[in-house]
Formats: sequence, C-alpha cells, structure tokens
Amino acid sequence: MRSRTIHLPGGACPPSALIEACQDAGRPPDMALAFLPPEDGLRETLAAMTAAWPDSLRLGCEAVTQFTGPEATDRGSVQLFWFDDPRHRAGVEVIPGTHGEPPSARRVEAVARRIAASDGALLLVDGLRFPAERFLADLRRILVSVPPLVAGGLASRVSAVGARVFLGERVLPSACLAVTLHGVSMRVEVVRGWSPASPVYTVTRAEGGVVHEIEGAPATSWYRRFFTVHGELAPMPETANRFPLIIEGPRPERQGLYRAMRGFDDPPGAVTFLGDVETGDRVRLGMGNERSLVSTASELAADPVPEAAILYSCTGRESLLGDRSGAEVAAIHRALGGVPLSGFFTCGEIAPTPRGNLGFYNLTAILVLLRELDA
Amino acid sequence: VTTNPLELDGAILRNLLAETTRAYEAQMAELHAEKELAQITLASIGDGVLATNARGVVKYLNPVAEKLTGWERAEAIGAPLTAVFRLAGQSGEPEEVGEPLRCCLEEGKGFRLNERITLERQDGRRYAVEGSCAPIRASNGRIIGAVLVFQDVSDQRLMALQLAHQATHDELTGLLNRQAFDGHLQRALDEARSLATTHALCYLDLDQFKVVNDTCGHLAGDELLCRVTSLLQESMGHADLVARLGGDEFAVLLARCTLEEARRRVGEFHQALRRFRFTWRDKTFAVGASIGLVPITREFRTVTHLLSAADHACYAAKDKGRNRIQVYQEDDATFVRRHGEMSWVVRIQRTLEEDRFRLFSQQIQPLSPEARPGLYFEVLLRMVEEDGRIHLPADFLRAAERYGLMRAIDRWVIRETLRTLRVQPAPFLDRLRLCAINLSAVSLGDEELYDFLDGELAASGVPADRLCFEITETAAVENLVQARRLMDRLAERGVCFSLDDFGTGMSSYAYLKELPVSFLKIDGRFVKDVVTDPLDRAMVESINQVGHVIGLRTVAEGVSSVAVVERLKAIGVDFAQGNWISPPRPLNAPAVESPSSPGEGGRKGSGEEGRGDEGLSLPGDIEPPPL
Repeated sequence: MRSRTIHLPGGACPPSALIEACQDAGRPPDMALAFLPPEDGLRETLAAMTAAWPDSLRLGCEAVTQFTGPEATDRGSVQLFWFDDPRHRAGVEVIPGTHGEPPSARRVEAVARRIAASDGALLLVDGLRFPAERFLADLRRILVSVPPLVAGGLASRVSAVGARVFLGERVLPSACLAVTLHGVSMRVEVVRGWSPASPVYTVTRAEGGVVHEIEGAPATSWYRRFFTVHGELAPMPETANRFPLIIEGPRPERQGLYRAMRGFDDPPGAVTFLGDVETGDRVRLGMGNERSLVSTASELAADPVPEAAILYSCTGRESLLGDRSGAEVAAIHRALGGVPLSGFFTCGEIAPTPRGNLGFYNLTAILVLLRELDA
Repeated sequence: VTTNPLELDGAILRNLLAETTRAYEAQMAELHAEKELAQITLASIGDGVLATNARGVVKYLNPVAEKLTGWERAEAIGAPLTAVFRLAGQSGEPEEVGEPLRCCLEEGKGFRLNERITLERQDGRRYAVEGSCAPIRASNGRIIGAVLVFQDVSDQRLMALQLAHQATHDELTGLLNRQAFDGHLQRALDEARSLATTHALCYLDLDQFKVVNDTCGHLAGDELLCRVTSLLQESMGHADLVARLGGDEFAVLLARCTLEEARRRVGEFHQALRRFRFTWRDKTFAVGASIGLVPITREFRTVTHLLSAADHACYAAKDKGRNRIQVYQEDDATFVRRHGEMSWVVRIQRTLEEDRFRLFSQQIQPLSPEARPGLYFEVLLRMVEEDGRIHLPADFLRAAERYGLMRAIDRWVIRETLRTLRVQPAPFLDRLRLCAINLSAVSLGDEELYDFLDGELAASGVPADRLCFEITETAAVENLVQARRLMDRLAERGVCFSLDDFGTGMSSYAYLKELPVSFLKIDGRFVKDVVTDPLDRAMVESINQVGHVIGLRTVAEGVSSVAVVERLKAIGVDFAQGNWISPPRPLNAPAVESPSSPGEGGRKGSGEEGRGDEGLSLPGDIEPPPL
C-alpha cells in the first residue's frame, strides 16, 4: 500500500493541485479520504476531487481541526491510498440520515454483514445527530461471533446542526459511513495519557449517559467535593473534562473507557456524559496535561511499521493541548517514523476494548495503523 | 473562582489529594481493624497457628501454638519453623517437617501432617497432633509464606487407642478376642502356606467352669477365668498369642513351633492347671481342661477350617473323658465321627422345618398296689427321613446337642405331646396319671421355657400335674442354678420331675436332696440282670432304698421279662418300664395288648440311650397291659 497526505490550501481547491499531488504515483488513488472544514468551499473541493479522481472512492467528513502528516490544520486534509494488489480494495456502506432515530434493524444487519466480511472497518459518524451509541450496541450484538476490527470517530461539532459526511459529491447530514477494507491489516492503538487522581467509587444510579448518583449521593455532590475551589464551583463541564471520569470496571469490557462531561446539574443533581455510564460501574477521576498526553503519544511503537495511519483524537484532548494542539499528532507521527497520517479531532471515538469490540470512548486518541496484506 | 486554569487545576488536585488521603487513611484504618480482628480471632481459636515467611522463618504464632510448642512468641519469631515445630513419628523417631515445608513454599503444595505424629515440646513433652500446612499467597499469586494449623489430639488418639483395644480384646481377661485372634490366625495360615512355616493352634475348654459359676456365682467364674488366663500367659512364650474366644473357651497361637514343641508347651500348661486349685470362700475346686491341638499347615484352607479342626480336637478330648490334650488327626475315627455329626445338623433342621419328627409312647407300669390306677407312659421321639427311614434318638441327639438344636427339638416335643393329648377322647385324660417328657440340659437352662410351657398348657387344656419332665443328673448339674429355678417354678404349677438314668452318671445322692424330683429312674443296665447278678441287685436295692428314704418313687427301666418284674416287686420298686411290658407305639395309640415281644423297644423322647428297635402299631384303645 502506498499513501500520501495532501495539505489543502484553504478555500476552493483547484483539481490541478490535486492531480499534481499524485502525479508521481502514476495513477489515480484507489481511495481518497478527506477531512474538510465546513466552509462554503466544501462542495467546490468535492467537485475538484471528482474532477481529479473520477474513478476513485472519495469520502470523508467535516471536521474543525484536521491532521495532515505531523501537523494540525484547519484548512482540510486529504489522504490518498493506492493498493499494490489489484484484488485489494476499499468499500463503503452508507447509513443515511435518520435525524436522531436509530437506523432500521435490516439496515444495521446489512452493514454488519459487510463489516463481518471485511478485514477491518472505519466508521465516520455525524457526532451530534446520528445515534452512534445505539447503532454501535446493535452492531455489537450482531458481530459478537465474528468481531472484525472496527474503529472510527464521531465528527466534531462544526455547526449547530452537526457535522456531515460525504461520499463522492453527496453531502449527507445525520449519517454514518462504514468503510470496509479488504486485503488490509488493521491495528488499533488506544492512546490515553491520563493518570488516576482519586479513589474508586461506585455509580449507584445511572441511565444512558446520565449519572444520577455516586456512592448513594447525587452525582453533582460528588463532583462538588473536588471541584469547589474557595467555596465556589469551578466552571462546568469544561473544568471537569480536564479530569475525565475513568471507568475501572467491574465489567472487563468497560475497563479503560473514559467519559467526557456534557452537562452538569441538568437534570438537577445529575451529571451528563458523552458516552454511557452504567449503574454499578466503578469510577474514579483522572488527571492529565499537555505533557502527559504528548509523552504517551511519543511512546508508541511502530512494529510492524505501518504504511498509513489515521488518528481520531478527542476534542477534549485538543482543549488540554491548548496552543500546542499539534503536539500530539507530531509526537505520534514522529514515533511512527513519518508514516502518511491524517485524521481529526473527534467528538467521540470508536475502538475495541480489552475484552470486546466497538467500545465508545471519550477523551482518548484512537490511532488506526494500516498495512496492506501480502499478495 | 480563579480564571487561571493552572491555579484552578492546582486547587482541584489538592482537593483530589485530600480526598485520596482521607480514603487511604480510612482504608488503612479498616485494614488495621481487620488485622486486629484477624489476630484476635487467631488468638482465640483452639487450634495452634504458626505462620512463616517465604524462607520458612516463623513470623507469627498464636497462644495455643505457644503452649503446644513450648516456645514463647518472642523467641519463636525469627526462628526456623523446623526448630519450633519438632515432630516425632510413632516410634519416637524424628520426623522432618522441613521438606514438605520447602515444597509448600517453593511449589505451593499444601500438606497434611502424617497420621500418628507427635509434636515434641521444647521441654520434651509430647502431644499427638493433627494439622495441615498451606502456602500464603499475595494478591499477585506470589507465595509469601506458609501457615501451619494444628490441634492437640492426644485425648482423641488415646480414646481411639482404647476403642481399638476394646474392639480387639476381651474385657474381662484383657486377652485378644475372637475377631482379633482370627486375624492373627489368618496371617499364620498365610505364612504357613507361603513360607512353609509351622505354627500350632491350641483350643481349650475348661471342664469345671460351669460348676464353679453355678455354685459360687459369676464373680467366682470371672475370677477363675482370670486365674486361668494368668496360668496360660505364664506357660506360653512371649511370641505366643493367647485369646479368649468366649465363655470358658481359650485359644493359643503358638508361633513358629513344631507340633512336638507345641505339645510340650501345652503339656506344661496342662500340668500347671492340674496342680492349680481354685479357692472361692470355703470351696476349693480342681480345674481341668479339654485341649485340642492342631498343627497349622498349608493343608488348612481357611481360618474356619482351622478352628473347626481345633474344635473337633477339643471335643474329642472331652469325648475321651475330658481333662486331656488331643492332637488333631484328620483320619482319626473320632474326627470322622464328628464330621458325621455335622452332616446330621442339616437333616435335623430339615426334619424340623418339614415336621417329620414323630412321637411314640412307652407305658410305665405300676408295680405297687398303692399306686393310683391309670395311665403312666413316657414320650419317645423318632426322626423320619424323606425316604421314610426312621432314626432313633441315639443317631442324632449327640449332633443336636452339640450344634444347639435341642431347644427347638424339646419345644417341638412338648407342643406336639400336648396337642396330641388334647385331641384324645375325654376318658383318656381322666385316666392319665403321668406323661413323662424328656428335657435336655439346654432347655433346663432356658429362661423362656416356663413361659412357653405356660402358653402351651393353657392352649391345650391338659392339667399340668399330669406332666413329668425327665432330666438327667448331668443336665441338671450343668446349669444347676437355672435348672433349680425352672424346676421350682414348674413344680409350683404341679409339674413333676424324674431323675433319669440314675446310677450311670455322677450318681451323687447329694443332688437328690437339692433337686425337686419325684421319681428316680433306675438305669436299665442294673435292671437287666437283676435276677442273676448280685451286684446289679444290690445297686437296684440301694438306689430304691435311698429313693424311698427321701420320699421318691422309683422306676426300673429296661424290664425284659416277667422274672425281672417279680424281682423288682420283691425289692419294692414302684414302677417298671420296658419292652416286655409295652413296646413303644405311636403316641396317639398307646399299647392296649399284653407285652408280645421280649425284645427291647423304646427310645426315649429326646435324651436317652437306645435299646434296639421296636414295633410300630396302629392307633388303638388306651389301657395298661394286664400283669
């Protein structure tokens, strides 16, 4: 497999620039994966990609901050893939917009069959309007006996209505793309960088992403114990997301899942998270900083050396990185020996858990490492 | 709230640290409390507990462990477990705990202390202990030490030993009991087979034990058994095993000795026993023993076979006059006869089950004009085989006595006699004066016989005063106390007794005063030649006179001619019985005609010597023969 990332210039991108970027490859790419800013030039860029590579699989999603090689950018990123073996390929399944409703069982089953027949799959999901967790739960039930590796990210909020995905020149709101890879070895690294910062407690009442009680007391009281400074509550939820909730078990498949806070005291006494928290989960607060995140990223080992990489890193990490939002991707790029890499800051990450597939993460960086299988 | 994120995060981290510290302290307090609880628990339990580190060095011991090992905690902690916990085996040899402890610490294999092990205290005292050792693992599975839990089981072990001793020994004499002795015999037999080693088995039965028991009581009997035990133990070698098999029966396994050597040793004991006199209060007894001696050879297949041979030999010693040693020889005539007796046992049992015994009667004729007129007769027993052959009691009574069948036979005779009398026409019972039934020694000692007879009399309606039980002197003496008790009770009901075969046994006139008998039956051996032999005549006159002096009526048995009858009349004998007077006939057909055959006829119901065959007549009227 060969791969290359292209820095877009910002605004509408002329097809010639795209063609020129892959001239030395000798042929159009088999797949072009684009993470584009939600600007007015989106459709022009998609049209340029069509003009440049009319026969290639072109897809992607909107994102505020994208990665291109070692850099974080807001002008858009395109990663091109060429398979060495003509029998190897990428496919895509579209789950169209449902506007918050879960896709039909038949649709989920069809997608699951395609994923099960692949060597691995990438999911690109509208983070706000597509019911990702419900969809993942349905997929998990079907894929329980044949779990291929699945990873992906929820596109971060880019507008009031969410982030869109696109296939060719079709722009789809409230949708999900499932990219199936055939003849490709896919490996997933979960990059954390947080340390435990509190004792472990038990969630005594929770429902979906809403935690009502911890250790029998309102969840807000539990948070107030830590986040009250000089008699006042620190700004929530942004402060809390620098101290993510870490699920420590007791179910093994939930161990190591982090949760980012979405809302505090709404409903009253409760805390709302981006991912689900279950009654009985053992939880603690974690702590981290820019140094710990970058340091963890730099410790990644590239063995075997991948031919391409895609990084889904949580926007919560972006907040923590602050001015050095590119430091993490740079460290990863360096650790992987300069492998062609793209990606974006996400609003929820999908990756296997220690005891299962299709875990829903927050505040985590999911690194997908790709290498074409031998012919 | 500060807007500086660093300050804010710092403050939150301090909160987190404080909370973590509080939780840690609470956890430590909880752990401390748990440790206290564990230590109090360990100190309170009744078991000894010793804990070591991974190198087998003692790190903890509870008060019970301190007491049992004799080590104080201060000196034990830091010492190797092998020094603190010193074990000894059954014979006192040191038993090393180090190797199993090493396995426990290195390989995680727990172990139990060996059975019958003892713990040697620091001061040398020993405790029987039981216990086990298990590795102590950290949360990561690593072995960090071992814990040894043990209990003082000295009392239980002593009790178990006592129970085991009780299970294998006779309580009175302390000798091995039958069950334990059988085990030793089996081993001796195995050895004889595999190694061709010769052992010998001595089986002995005291001759005078019952006399001592009955005349002086059980305490005296027990004392006699203990004295004989001492004599046996003094006479036999250390390797010989002496056992009490029950009652007055003893056995000795003479280990690794030839028959000659065994005979010599047993002979020495027998001599010692003959010299021995047992004194109880004012009475002194000479004690004899009938001894059977068997060489234990590979020819014996089983212990049962071996014991049976010894029993046969002992029986033969008795048969030959008691108080002697008899060596077992398989082809000896005595043993052959014993085997023959045993074959009778099955036939007797089958005859009882199939109701093939038959009752006969032989008339007893009054000779004195003072005698009340009426019917007097003795009930006689016959055994009818499946093929119709008829056996006299002489054929089978010895076997029945030997193998415990007399009780059943006596009861069958009593029940059947009363049943037969009941169904006779009314004039029969009116004229019946005496129906004599023979009663064995076993039945005389049977405490349930009275109730049985009481029930049968009530069921039959036969007046008790028409019954007379014939007993032998030997039978009465064998169980004198019980026999006397039964006879007194039956006498109160009106039943009378006759002393049978007088003149042939001990013929102790003293017993005539002791026993509540009404008739004295003069043995036919003296009667037969009473006309021609002056000695027999003198015997008959003597017995008759003594009987009359103490108020008994006399009956002469075996009367074979009119001349004998006349002589008996002249002597003054009260009754006569014999084939010349009336041959035996089926009980429901007592003789009606005159004596027709000069030959001998009857066999007594269940205990007398036979005198030949007799004719079997059909039922008829019941009248005494005219004389």
